[in-house]
Amino acid sequence: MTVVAVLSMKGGVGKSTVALGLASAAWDRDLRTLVIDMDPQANASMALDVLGADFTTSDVLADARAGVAADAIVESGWGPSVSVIASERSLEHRTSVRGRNSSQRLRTALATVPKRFDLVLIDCPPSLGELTRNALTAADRAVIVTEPSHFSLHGAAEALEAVDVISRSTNPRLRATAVVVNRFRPDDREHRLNLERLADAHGRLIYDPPLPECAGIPQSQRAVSPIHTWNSPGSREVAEIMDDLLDMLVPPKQPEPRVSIRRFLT
Amino acid sequence: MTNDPTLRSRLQKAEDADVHPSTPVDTGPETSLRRPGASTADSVGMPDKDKLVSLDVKVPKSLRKSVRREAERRGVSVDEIVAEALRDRAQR
Repeated sequence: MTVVAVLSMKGGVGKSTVALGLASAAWDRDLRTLVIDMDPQANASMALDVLGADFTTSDVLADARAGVAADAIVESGWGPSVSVIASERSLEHRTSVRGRNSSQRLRTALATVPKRFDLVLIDCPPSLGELTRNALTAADRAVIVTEPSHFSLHGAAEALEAVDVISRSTNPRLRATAVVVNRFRPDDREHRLNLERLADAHGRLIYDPPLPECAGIPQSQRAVSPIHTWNSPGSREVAEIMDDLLDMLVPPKQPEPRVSIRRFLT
Repeated sequence: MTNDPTLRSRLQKAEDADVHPSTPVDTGPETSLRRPGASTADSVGMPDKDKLVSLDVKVPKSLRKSVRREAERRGVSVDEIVAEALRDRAQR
């Protein structure tokens, strides 16, 4: 079981796209996956066809009793292997600090829930506030999403610093695994320059290759389908990148070594 | 606290689930950073008076010594110094 928070300080860089891409790769590998939508915009909930679920992350954080998150889990529109705790706009009410251990409410509410899944993905809101603090406190791994633009470089650095702060305070297990550069256009000089600057600043954390701009991503999201089912060259490229990123987060199980029974028969 | 769903009551909808996030929230009267009675304007209306009660606490002798020294330096009682520290703590 691995709990991954997908975050960025800047909005619109593709956090939900990466979270959904990873969920799609997990769906393709038939991993038991839980997506927790911590963004009040609820884009991931929309793409997973669970908008209007009875209970949401807002209710879970308001209650925060140990294990109560289990009551909010619903099956996604992708099928039984991908479950979701949906979001709704009233999650905005949980953006302020609520007493001591406020940033541990999600971790407490989840309790042993992650053990029921191979992968838990937390889609964070575009801020480093209380919702993201809760996500990072509940996670083992952090994936930062950015774009190869000037302002996004700063956002990536801020997000990495946030991971560092949480790992030194409320969650020593937390590690930054990768910085995923989204919407990269190789023919754009500015993009190439910013990618180099990102690599200089964060070295091996920059995930290679970057995600290309791909029309299939919004199309598959609108159609409530995993990107792995979308048949276009761009979508296949994105799906392969997501497979490799997932392998890094949840290494595939090595097949059991075969023992020849002939040895015992002779 | 228990993880066993059979031993705890089910999750309920949050009370503010139907409240739009941009609805203004009434946080009550604004609190001033200054203590009542600290300015001339406060003399027009009397500052709010709270009933005084005793609080018996054990503290290290060295701490009492330093509080006494501070009270002497500022020309106030030890009670006032301790009450001020507790007030700051309670308002945090």
